[in-house]
This record gives sequence, structure tokens and C-alpha cells, in this order.
Amino acid sequence: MTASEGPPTSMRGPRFTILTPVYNPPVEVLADTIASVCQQTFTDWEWVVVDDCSPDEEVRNVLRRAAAGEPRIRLIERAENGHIVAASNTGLQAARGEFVCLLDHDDLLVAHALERVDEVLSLAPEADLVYSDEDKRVGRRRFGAFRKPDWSPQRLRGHMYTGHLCVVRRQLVEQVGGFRPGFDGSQDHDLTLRVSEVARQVVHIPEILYHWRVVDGSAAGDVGAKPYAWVVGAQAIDDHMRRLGVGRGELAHRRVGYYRTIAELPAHRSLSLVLLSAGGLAEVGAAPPTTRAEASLASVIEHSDHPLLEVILVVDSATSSQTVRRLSTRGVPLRVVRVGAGASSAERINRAALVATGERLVLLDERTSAESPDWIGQLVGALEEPGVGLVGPLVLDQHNEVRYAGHRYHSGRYEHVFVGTPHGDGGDWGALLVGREVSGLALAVAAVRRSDFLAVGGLTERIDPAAAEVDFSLKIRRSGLRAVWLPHVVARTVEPPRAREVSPTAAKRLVQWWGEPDFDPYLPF
Amino acid sequence: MPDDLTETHEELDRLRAVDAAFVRGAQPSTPLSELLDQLRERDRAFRQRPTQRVLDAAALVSQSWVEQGPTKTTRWVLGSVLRKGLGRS
Repeated sequence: MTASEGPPTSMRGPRFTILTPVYNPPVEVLADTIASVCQQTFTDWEWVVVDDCSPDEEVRNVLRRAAAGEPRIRLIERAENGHIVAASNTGLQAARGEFVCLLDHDDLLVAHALERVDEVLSLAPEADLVYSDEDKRVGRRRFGAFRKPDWSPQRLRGHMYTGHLCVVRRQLVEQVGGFRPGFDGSQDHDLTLRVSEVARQVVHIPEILYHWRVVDGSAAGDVGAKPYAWVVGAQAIDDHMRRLGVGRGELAHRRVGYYRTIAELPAHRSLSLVLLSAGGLAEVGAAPPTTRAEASLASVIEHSDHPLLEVILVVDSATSSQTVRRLSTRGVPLRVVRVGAGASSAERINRAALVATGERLVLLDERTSAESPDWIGQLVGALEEPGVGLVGPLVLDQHNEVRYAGHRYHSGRYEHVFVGTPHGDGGDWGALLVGREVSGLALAVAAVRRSDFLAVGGLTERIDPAAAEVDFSLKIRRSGLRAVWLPHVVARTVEPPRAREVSPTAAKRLVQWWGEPDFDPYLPF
Repeated sequence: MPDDLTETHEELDRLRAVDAAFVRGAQPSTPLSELLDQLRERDRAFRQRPTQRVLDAAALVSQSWVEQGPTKTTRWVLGSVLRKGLGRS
């Protein structure tokens, strides 16, 4: 035998170790779970079942009968109840498979689940973590299909979206130390976060490969069923952020089971605010300052602790010299870029970026203002994570409805998502509650590294402004960087509703340049 | 964090280095209009560069496709790796 041939099949562990801690599930539910595993079309698996001292004797009997009838089932009966982390680690110690497949005692695998995972792993040999779509099931009724995003690290910090079916290379699970004691209830979220930090590739299979059954006491039926889980879940997020050195995490206050990340912007980071002025007057009733540009700048200064290095004010003839003079008295160095009235917003931003000297650019249209605390710190601070290239806030309109919450590209269309949704609504699968990767962002307000902006050639001037924002987002992503939307950073706009809509003609140009988007990787519903 | 786009990061680093020289060398004597022209040229050039990783991944899946025929998985993975060209990681 040569080293390259590896050990013979009989000496190797199986491809998959399904790992299931069991504690007193309804017997009929457990029997269905057992059947769903035994019916797998892919056969190279073992199932390590750890009974954590279930009080119901019938549960133990069901497990013993299953193990007696199926040699691939390895039943471990713990001598004392240790809760889910201890039981999971007991099972992990016994696992021999190349990959560990986490399965709850009340989950149902579809018959080809492992076959599909094996196919994907064959095609993506560097995949260390694989997850699938899911739905819920009561009796024979299926509902609540969750079409999950492709790998979205920011979203995983907002909620445990990967869920099950979760397949992890065993070597990595062991490398990170298995399940962490004290994280019962959010142990899978914590493990997924830690594995993601060292995984070479994370792969999403866009198929429903398991059903999450709604039974009494399960989080599938009631997110309030396990309140302890969310407290330790927030700790898991916080630990993850601190390990990465990109801030911290905490419970989001509006909904149980959702978290938010808090960025930390270093004091030395230099910022250039690019303020596009069209000479508009502030809304009726506004106290001085009297122009939109002045109101916009005032809002940023009011809601931010971090000092601005400079304001790059882009003006055409519509902005009066008095306005410019007043803006220059706001305590921030002002540099004025004058453009012709016909200059596109792309050209205006490009000119500003070329004269800016700050490490970070904050792009701000005069019709948009800052509203949330530590506005600059949270918006720009997210760029401290090396893989993040473009950041945008939640932008609300005057009716307190969502105007901009990220782009979605699908079926040849380029659109803003959740437009008109009342502020506070969670959106599909919590998409409005959590920070997440997005296909693109409106540049009415956004933050970007100046170096990245220039490296990708700025905003294209060969297409209409709304499409240029899509194109810019795609260029940033093409550079290997992520575009991230943050719901806890809030801005307000008075732009007309369709101000940044991509025209059909421009959409055709985008398709020529980038190919036709089939379905959005981050909002695939 | 997982980084399956190393080449593009390296490319970005290279561009950033070029950019630093570009900006240092340009200011203050270079007219803004000239800088803007250079930026526009970079914009044109940018989208014409497929990453080697995308090409490699597409070739791998194509080979599988040829050998096994198009399955739902190969179709999906092909689409997936091509989307990686847009920076998915």
C-alpha cells in the first residue's frame, strides 16, 4: 500500500458520522427520525446516538431495538444526564467519520440528504462546512420553507441561520475543541461560528434536506421555548467577534433569538465625508440650518463621536456660496469640488474620492441624514473587518418605512428589497433584523475604503447612476470583498420613491457586463 | 474567515499598491481631470479580468459534467462557482 492510496476501505472510518444527542423525545417522533436515517440512499455512514439518561424507559427501548437491528447505529447510554453539550461531546469522542453530521433527535432527513452532501463534497473538496435549506413539519404537513442565503458570515452573527442539516469536517470540530461547555441551547451556533473561523470553504446546498419538526419545547415551534439559549447565544457572538478582533456582539433587543454586532472604529482612522449637494432646501418646518446639505451634515455631526478629517462638498451652481460658507463653519475642514450642472452623481463621487485624503469614504446624498447613535462609528467601523468592502445602513423614508435595505439581483432584475415595509417588521426570515451580506447597496449613504474605491475604478460613468451603484457593488464583490447591510445603523431619506431604480436599458447593460443574475445568493426566496 | 478568493485578494492588494503610487505621484500637480481619466480607464479594465480560481473551479465542474452528465448538483455548483467571480466567499 502506498501513502497516496490511503488505508483500505475497511480500515477507514465512514464518510459521515451522524451525531444525535437524545433526551426524552416523544417516542413516535424519535421513531420517525430513526427511520429517516435508516432510509438514506447513501450508505457509507454511522450514527452515533447518545442517550443522555432519558427518563422515559420506552425511549431507551426504541434506541436499543434500533441499534440491535442496524449495525451502523452505535448507541451510547450515558450514566448521568449532562445536557446537550456533554452528550454531544460524548458522541463526538466516539465519531469515526470524515464528516460529522449534526442531527437533532426530532429532525427528519430527506432520503437523499447524505447522497446530496456527498456529491457536493466531491465537487468542492475544500468544503469544511456544509448546510442546507430546511422547512418545518407538523405531522405530515410541511410549511415554513427557509431558502437560506449562501455563506453569509455577517448573517450568522445575527441568528443561527445555517441550522441543520449541518455537516462539518470532523478534523475541524476536534481542532476547535468540540462543543463548548456552558453553551447548551446555542451550542451548535457557537460551534458553527468557531468552525467558520478556520474553515477553508463553507458551502450551502440550496435544497431542503431536512425537516425540523415542531414539537412541544422545541425552538422550531416557539423561539421563546429556550430563553437560556439566547443568552449564551449572545455570548457566542461576542466571543466570535472578539476572536476576530472586529468588535463585539450582543442580543438585539427587538426579537428573541436575534443578535447584533457592535463595531469598534479605531480613534486614528481618518474619514472623509463626501457630501453631494444639489442646493436643495431643508424640509418645511426645519429649524436652521436651512439647506438639505447643512441638515445632513449637522445630523452626522450630532450622531457621531468619531471626528471627521474633512468634508468633501460636491456642488454645482445650484448650491449658493452662502450655503458653502455656512457649511465651512461646522468645525470640520471643508474642501469644495465644483462640478457642472450636468455631471452625473457617479462623476461627482469620483471627483470627490480623488481629492479626498481620508482612509475611509462616507458617501452621503444631501437628501439623507443620520439618525442612530454612534452613526459613523458603526457604519465605518464595520470596514475594520478585512473581508468587508462596502457597508450600508437601514435607510427609512419619511413614513418610517424601509427605503433601502440592500439590493437583490435575480431573474435579470436589479432591485431594492423590502421597500415600503414598516420599520420594525422582521422581513422574511428575520432579514430586516440582522446584519447580512447583500448583493449590493444604494449609495445614497454608504462607507467604503478609499483605496478599494480607487482600486476598482470608482463608479462607472458609462451607465445611469442607479445601475452604476449595482456595478460598483459587483466590482467590490468581484474583488473578493463583501457588501454588508446593517439594520442598527439608521438613516432617513427624503428622496422620491423610485430615485435609485435601475432602468430596463441599464439593466441590459449590466447583464452584458456581468451576466444575467439567476437568483440572488443572499435573498434567494 | 474562510477565504476562497485568495487570488482576488492578492489582486486587490496589487491594485491598492498601484493606487498608492498613483495618488502619491499624482498630487498635487496632476490635474483632477487627468486623474479622473485614469480612474475611468481602470473602471473599464476592471470587469475584464476573470479570476484564475473561477476558471479552475469551472473547469473542474465541467470535467465532472462531461464524465457524469449534467446533474442537478453539477448545474448548481457550476452556477455557484461562477458566482464566486462576484466575490462570494
